Amino acid sequence: MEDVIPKASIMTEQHSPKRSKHDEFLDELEAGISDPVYKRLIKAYQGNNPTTSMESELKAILLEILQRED
Amino acid sequence: MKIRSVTVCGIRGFSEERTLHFDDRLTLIAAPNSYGKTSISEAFELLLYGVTSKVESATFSKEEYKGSYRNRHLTQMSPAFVEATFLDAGSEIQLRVEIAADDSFRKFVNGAEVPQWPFAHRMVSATKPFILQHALKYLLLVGPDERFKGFARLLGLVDLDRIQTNVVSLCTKPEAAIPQEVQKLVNDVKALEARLEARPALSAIAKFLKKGSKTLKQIYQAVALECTQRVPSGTPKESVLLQLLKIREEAVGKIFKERLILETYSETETTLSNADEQFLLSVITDPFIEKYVKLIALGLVQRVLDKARFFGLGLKFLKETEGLCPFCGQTVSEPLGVHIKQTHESIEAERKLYAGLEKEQADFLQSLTDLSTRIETYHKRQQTKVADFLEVEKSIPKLKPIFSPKYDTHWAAVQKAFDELRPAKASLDTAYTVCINALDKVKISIAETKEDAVFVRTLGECLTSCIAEARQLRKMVSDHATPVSEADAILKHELDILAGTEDIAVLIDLLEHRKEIEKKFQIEDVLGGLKGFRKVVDQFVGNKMLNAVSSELTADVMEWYSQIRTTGDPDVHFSGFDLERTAKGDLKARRVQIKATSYGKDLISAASSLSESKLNALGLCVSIATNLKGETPFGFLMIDDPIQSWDAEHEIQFIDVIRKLLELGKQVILLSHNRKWIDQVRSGCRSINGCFYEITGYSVTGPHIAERPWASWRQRLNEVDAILKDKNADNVKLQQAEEEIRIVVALLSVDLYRKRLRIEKSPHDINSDKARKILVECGVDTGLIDRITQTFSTTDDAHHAPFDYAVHRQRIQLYAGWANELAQLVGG
Repeated sequence: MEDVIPKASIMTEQHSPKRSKHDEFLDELEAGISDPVYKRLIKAYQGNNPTTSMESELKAILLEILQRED
Repeated sequence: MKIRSVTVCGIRGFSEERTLHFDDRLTLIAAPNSYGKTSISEAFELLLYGVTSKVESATFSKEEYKGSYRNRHLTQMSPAFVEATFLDAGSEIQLRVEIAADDSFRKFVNGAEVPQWPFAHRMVSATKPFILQHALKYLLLVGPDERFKGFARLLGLVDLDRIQTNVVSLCTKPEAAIPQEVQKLVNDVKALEARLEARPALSAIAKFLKKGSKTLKQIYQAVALECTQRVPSGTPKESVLLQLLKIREEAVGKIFKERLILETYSETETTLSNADEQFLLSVITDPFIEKYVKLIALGLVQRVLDKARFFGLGLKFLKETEGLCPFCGQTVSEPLGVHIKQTHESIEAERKLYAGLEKEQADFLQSLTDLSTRIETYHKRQQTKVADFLEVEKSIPKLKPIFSPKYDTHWAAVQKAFDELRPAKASLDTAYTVCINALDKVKISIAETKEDAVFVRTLGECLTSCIAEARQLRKMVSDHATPVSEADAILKHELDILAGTEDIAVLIDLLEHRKEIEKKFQIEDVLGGLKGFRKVVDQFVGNKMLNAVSSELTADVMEWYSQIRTTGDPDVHFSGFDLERTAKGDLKARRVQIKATSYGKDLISAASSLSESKLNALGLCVSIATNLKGETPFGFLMIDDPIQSWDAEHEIQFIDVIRKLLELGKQVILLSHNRKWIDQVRSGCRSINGCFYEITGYSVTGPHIAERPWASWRQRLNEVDAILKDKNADNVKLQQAEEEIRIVVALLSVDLYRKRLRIEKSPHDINSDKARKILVECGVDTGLIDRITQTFSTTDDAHHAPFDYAVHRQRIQLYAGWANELAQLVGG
């Protein structure tokens, strides 16, 4: 398959270490945030269903509070 | 990437195969409405994106469009494909997409199937190279949210749109993320707060509690003060709670001592019970029964084993008594001694044969012991869950009046729990006893070597039955736990009323649940903080969009807009983009504003104030500006019917826009229903020598596409003559004349071919060899053919001059003469 793709295109595809715009936005957003809860939620923003991932993280944050001993 | 050619078959209006070649600068396609013009741009959209923008921007169900890409006249097996050749970084690349009857797509690059295009990552944030009328209206004449989405798509900020949408979804509806146990804690503390608010004597505490987490210290200072007033003076601080509990217990105990406790199964209990059930149900299997049945053989050889043990013991003693019988003391003669030893050896050898069987018996007995322990633990776990609660049933005569008549519903729930749990527990206890009995029978059968498979099968049935009873009980406990717990809270409350200990009860709960109260505050802080999180994301997204539309886009759009606006236009114009703000000045993240002015005065709503033709112009300018901005793998721009609702003056202005796009290096493919305007574009871009197609008709097979000359050979010859007559014509002009002659020769050749042999041929790819062949077939004099084909010697097949090209006026004059000779033949 790769043999038939022109070399220029292969080069662009395989040697591009550039981060996606999506990741750049998230990095920039996270860098401007100081609240640790917001940071954790942004870090959890990933995968095919980011809302579910963030919900799981929020769930984990709330359970941590519930289970905190001190 | 620029487009060289496209072949469309079985897609939208194209039932049969059609191929179009594109000029690397400008290609024009003219067709009346509904003649399949848009099908061409949609074929490219499908090829590159797998979806047309019409379907993508559908606000209603996309289901309506399902199956609409394939031409309706195709059979299931007929091919539907778009195949295009692009020029990418000097190499040709052929992309092909096939659409099956179920709407699934297969992609191919240079004939090999691929999962995605090799430049897919560059397409993600690049603006689509299509400017379509319905897309323009979608961008401007829609609600703010849809407009935001449209701009996000155009500006490559789709990810920003997604991030904001997902964060809003979490922040506005966080309920799905609140675990049950967290919600329970919040509800319990809220119930305590409600009780506190109902106690006027404790209003100081309630006041602080309302203020939230920051006042926790003051809350407990107030609690301590109230407690001190209710315990004997001199009570040490650490004994206050104990003292309060004692006071309350004594007062309440005079009325009723018990509580209604029926707790639901904890996660650990559930896990343990599930594991036990899994184990118990997996024990009695066919291999287990086989092992058990095999032990019957042990009974048959038991005499041998006993004898071996007897001989073993006898020999041990014989060694100690040396020549005397260890049992009666008589002398054992040597032959007798030898006989005893030999007999023992033979029996010992036989015993070894059955040693494995003995081990199996031991293992089997151990597994029965394990089973017994497990069933006992399992039963105890279920039984103790309800035992205390059922004990209270004896006190119904005392308990009922506390509930009735005020809390009859709760009492009914308690009564129902008693009525259902009592027999359920009894059934479980019976099933457990039966189970243990069955287990004992199996053990006894082994001990008595009276194994019978029926015993084990019965044990299996008993275990299944016991588990079914236990599951029934577990379900009942889960069903009744909440109503019983609510009834218990009422009982506690009513007892405190009767005993006059309500304030003390609230103080006790405040002291005992300080951690829970603190956690509830923290939970509320996190959930309340989601509003702040949303605001942060809103401002981030708003600023990004503002930056994109106002700082970067506005100037570019204004520049293009000024190209289209005419001097006679009323001074009511687009004046820029902005984002709406709240009264406090915060950005409204998803509200892109289109600003307009009327003779220097800002208008309230640009969308409603600007005429359709101006909105159309604005939409075009936005699309053009965004297409020229940012990284894109595409060097072409397909513009579909841009001049709708425009007057003649604006139409002419737009030709300048096309010229500017060409100057910027864009390959432009322009489609229009307006043949007259397309002719004006050709005339305005006369020097471009692009491709021109006309769709002349439409039938069931698809559009009838005819390639037309950019300019007639007569116009071109006249232009050549004019250049040659101009003594001041520079080298650039002369080179242009020579190139025109080559085009004239190609046009004349295909014209002659059509006239003499009635064969249509495209002039697009005519070179020296092809021209010679055509002219020979048309019976042209060989001398003229030789002269005519010489005109190609100074241009290559790709219509470009070779590196060593040099302008020569006399040579061009000669070529022009030969071309005029050919023109005479064609009918000039």
